[in-house]
Amino acid sequence: MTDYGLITKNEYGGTQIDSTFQNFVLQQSNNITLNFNHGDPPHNIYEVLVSIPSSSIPPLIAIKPKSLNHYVSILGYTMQGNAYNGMYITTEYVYGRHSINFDYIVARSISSTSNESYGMVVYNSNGDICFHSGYKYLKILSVHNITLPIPTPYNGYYPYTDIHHSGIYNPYYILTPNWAGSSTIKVINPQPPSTSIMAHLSVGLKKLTSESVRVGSFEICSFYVFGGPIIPVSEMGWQGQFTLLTCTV
Amino acid sequence: MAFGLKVWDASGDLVVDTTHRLPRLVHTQYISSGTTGSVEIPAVADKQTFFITGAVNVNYWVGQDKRIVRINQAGISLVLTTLSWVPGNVDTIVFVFIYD
Repeated sequence: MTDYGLITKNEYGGTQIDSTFQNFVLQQSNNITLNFNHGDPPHNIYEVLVSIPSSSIPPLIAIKPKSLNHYVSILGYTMQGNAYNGMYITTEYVYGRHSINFDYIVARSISSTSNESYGMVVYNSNGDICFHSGYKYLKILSVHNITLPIPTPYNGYYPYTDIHHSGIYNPYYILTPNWAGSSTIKVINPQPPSTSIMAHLSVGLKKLTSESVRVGSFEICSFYVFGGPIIPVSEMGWQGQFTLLTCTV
Repeated sequence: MAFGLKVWDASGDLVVDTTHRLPRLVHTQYISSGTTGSVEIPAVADKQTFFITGAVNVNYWVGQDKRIVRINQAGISLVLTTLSWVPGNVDTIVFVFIYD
């Protein structure tokens, strides 16, 4: 698509608004408390599905963890047909019942015109709205590149790093990629049928202060399994490179 | 020196000013489980970028067998303008943004 119409740039020289790519606007904000019970069946206790407005337009989801004691992580999305309609949330293993609380926002590109008849609208050459001053826009405040060593649940080693974003208070966070993996970590009984411990791991966020957050790996759950392949941690798809964005609307 | 654009909404709240970095989506890639591939994204050339990945319809209990779990996303990398991926065991969606 060729450019068309208006281009605005910020004081760093970056393009804010043009008629080629659509900006992302706030679609939903919410606070939620999720309750987990890691001690008992049923098996669906390890992740919770949270509904988001259904749309074929990709969602950009940012979270603001409120819990000081437990990591929170977005594992992924649910799709029905071609519509994104939910996100999977998980937290770290704690035997028994515990809760996590966080704010989240869902941002998407503009799919319909605002009711506001004030200000400025920018369209692309197809007539789609790239910018409308009646919406709240997702804004990137800082970017932090993170390298974490591979976790080794064999010995309870779950690396983390603390990110300080001075002068940015209580932002929303986007951690990418949303990593999760599984490892079969120990053979208890080498005689058939073999018994192993399978661990599910992820990387998430834990609130520290209004100007800092912890990014770390954690165990979602672990359990005994009979048979099945041994999956060393080196084969669970760990890349170790993450990006944390702080943002606001 | 005055620079750029400021936009307010009808309530007088500032929508955009010259310090803001606004992410814009330039590419969406749906990756089926078990596949390897790459794609060129010219729009990210010389831009600040980030990508969001998410597993699609994760499955902890395939056929009620907890030994088989579908939560490993494709491994994604973005080098210059090339988005590459190595297999995961669940479908993965990738959104590539520029935000300069």
